[in-house]
Formats: sequence, C-alpha cells, structure tokens
Amino acid sequence: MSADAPPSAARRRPAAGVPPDTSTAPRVRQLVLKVHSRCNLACDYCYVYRHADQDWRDRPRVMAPGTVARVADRLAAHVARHGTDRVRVVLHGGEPLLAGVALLDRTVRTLGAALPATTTLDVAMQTNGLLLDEAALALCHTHGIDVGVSVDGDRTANDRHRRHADGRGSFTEVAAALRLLARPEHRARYAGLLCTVDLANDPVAVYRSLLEFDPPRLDLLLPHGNWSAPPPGRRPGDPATPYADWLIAVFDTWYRETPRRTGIRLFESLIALLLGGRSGTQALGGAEPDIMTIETDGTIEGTDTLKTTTASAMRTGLDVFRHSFDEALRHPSLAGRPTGPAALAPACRACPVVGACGGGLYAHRFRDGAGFAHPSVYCADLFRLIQHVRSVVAADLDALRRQAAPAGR
Amino acid sequence: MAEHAQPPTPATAGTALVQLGDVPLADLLAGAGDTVLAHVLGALVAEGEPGRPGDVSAFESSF
Repeated sequence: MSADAPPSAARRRPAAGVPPDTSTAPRVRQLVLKVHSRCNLACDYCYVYRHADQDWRDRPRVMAPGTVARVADRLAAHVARHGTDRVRVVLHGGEPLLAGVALLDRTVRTLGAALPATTTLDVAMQTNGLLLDEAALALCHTHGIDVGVSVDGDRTANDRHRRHADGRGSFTEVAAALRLLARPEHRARYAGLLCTVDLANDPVAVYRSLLEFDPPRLDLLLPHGNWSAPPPGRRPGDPATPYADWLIAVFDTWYRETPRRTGIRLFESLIALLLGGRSGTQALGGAEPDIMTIETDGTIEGTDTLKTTTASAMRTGLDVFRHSFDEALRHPSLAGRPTGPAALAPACRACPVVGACGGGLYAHRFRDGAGFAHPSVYCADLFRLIQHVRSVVAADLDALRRQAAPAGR
Repeated sequence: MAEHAQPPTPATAGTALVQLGDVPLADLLAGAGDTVLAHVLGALVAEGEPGRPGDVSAFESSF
C-alpha cells in the first residue's frame, strides 16, 4: 500500500493469503485519455485553458508511445483485478484529432492488445470537428470509435464562444463535419452533440438548430462555475433561476415532440431518476466517481471538471509510471472523495428533491477554502427544473394509468 | 399540466419522486406511443438486463 493511503484503506486490507474482494471496490469505468494537450480553437469558456488549472502549459503536446503503453498496462491490470467486463476510453484533449490518425490508430491498438479477452474496450472521442474528415472517420470505423462533437447551436450561438485564436468563428467548419458524420455510411459512429448553455442564446432556437444536424443525442452542459467563481448570470444566493428557465424552454419543446426526435441526456436522466432509475450524467443523481483522466505526460487526475475549481484540488501527484490505478483511486479527486449522503451538504440531505438532484455536479459545489460540502451553485435552477419536470411526468403518468386501467375495471 | 403537490420530506439519492403505480409497466408503455416518456420507461426496463453497463457520461460529453 502506498504511503498516502488513508487509514480506512488499511482497515480494509485482507488477511494474508485471502484474495481481495473487489466486487464492490471503486473502479475505473471510463478513462479520459489526453492524447493531445493543445487545441486548434480558442473558445473563451474552455475549462482546460481558461480556468484555474494551467498545468497544460508544462505538458507535452502529444502522448508518447511509451506513455500509451504504460497506460495500457495499468488499465489491463486494473480491469483484470476487478473482473471488469467493459471499460470505456475517451480520446480527448485539447483536440484529439490534432494527434493525427496514425498516432490515434496506434494508441487504440496498444490499448486493445493489452486488455484481457474478457474485457470489451469501448472507445469514444470528443472533438470540435474541425479535423473530422474521411480519413479520421475511416479510423473510427476501423476501431468502432464513437464520435461526439461540440457545437453550441446556429452560427451566431456557436461563434459567440467557439472561435479560432484569430477570432474567426468555427461554425462553417463544424457544420461541414457534422453533415459528413450524419451521412448514412458514417452515422453508426455518430454519438451526439455537446452544447454549452449560454443565456444570451434563445433556447428553442438553439435546440432547433442542433436538430438540423440530426443527432442521436444531445448533451446540454451548464457552464462550469462554483460559489467562488460563479457561472455567467448566476449570482450565488439569488432566487432567480435563469438556467432553469432556459432549460425548461428546451424541455417543453423536446418533451412534447412525438415521435421523439433525439435524446437529451440531462432530461432523460432526470426523468429516469424521478422514476427511481439511474442517471446517465454526473450532473444529477450523485453518481459515483468512476472516471479517471490521464494527461499527455502520464499524470493521473480525477474528473476533468475539477479543473474549474483550483489547481491544487485536481493534482494527485500520481502518474502511470509509478502508480497503479487502484492506488490513484484512493486520492480525494477520484474515488477517495466522499460519496453518497456523506458528500452532501446538510441542506441537500434535507432537500425533497435530493433523490433526483444528488447535489449536482461535484465541481459546481466548490467554494474556495471550504471545499465541496455545499449545494450546487446551480441549486435554485436545479430545484426549479426538477420540480417542473416532475409535475409534467407525474401528470402524464396519471393519464397513462387512467388509460391503462379505466375506473371500475 | 397538473401540479402535483409533494410532501416536503427529504428523499435519499435513488428514491423515486414519482411513483409508477401498480399498473404493469408494459401497459403504461403500450399507451405511451413513441414519446420521450415511453423511451425513458423502455430504458428503465432495459436497465435490468444483465451485462448492460451503466452509461454515465464522462465530463458531460456526448457518449
């Protein structure tokens, strides 16, 4: 056991000769691999380059083959130890396609070759789309890489933030990439769109413009922020709910469209949680931290969104050359942080919608000098959104029940 | 849209805030057509299938 292991870990150590019971132990289910640390856009809201953690400046641009090999070995040992039958690797950056098709091909082959035959490797990539061409898509077909693309709506909405370093907008390029990705021959690799909410954009217009790209799924991302660095338009303690108002406008439009046009992860997760199911997003439901990030130099970090808090909150001091994934998981930025009710502020534990909210995204609870034991900086918005969705779903379920079981039957 | 008053009692994470009731889920699904709600209800049924991974998004990306 490493010297930094907490006392609770020592108490869990099994007796000599007894195989450890890893059935419920924390494990990595998603590995975010920073294959390239730079980007060909200069979005002014980017959490990688514009927030507290600026360590990217000191890291190599590309993940070297030796680092990839070490990651593969560590991942293989981890999944073998836990009997993991499926693990997801997300090719990320910076912009992952800056690494080039050949390097990405070698990276995925290295990972696949290292894993036990009993473990399925799902590979995904989050890209800005600028370099998404036929060659890149051929690679995605070869390895079954699912592609998510970031775009914020129509030209006006997208180019408000998603611009080149010289100020040019990126909409023309990303729209061309999305038309290519949506073609029948490539559609199997189309995972969806990631859109960051901006209150300056009309919510329904944004939704309609994203639908034009025919996405199988949309992710609506609240801008990152916390109690010490609030998101745009969100004043801590203010009862106004601008983000809930924005999201509800999209929800009401999306929810009433029949047949369903696309999935919106935030809303579908919320409905599922309201009905006792699971969340598909870390933003709701108090999901367990099962995501690990590997930087281009092999540094191991927790979930990427912690970069929006303070640099020190994210740093583990661990790397794939010296530390196993199980050692790294004990760190407070990974599975070593409080989870479940213990992770929540007293106000959250007493809240009637905590079953769906779960405290919101962990990074959004942060207050400088006081940690994460707070409600989300979006608390008022989340409460209003959840109440609204609950009322809509409850009314529709009542109608379905009456339809299925007429009175007197 | 009907408003459903909820008691101001806390609920732990994972507790359903809207009850499906005692009507079989298959009957609810049959009446839900091709709506968003039908899709989520179908996914709830599928969650029980063995071997299906929990599909929690990393860092809110599009997977």
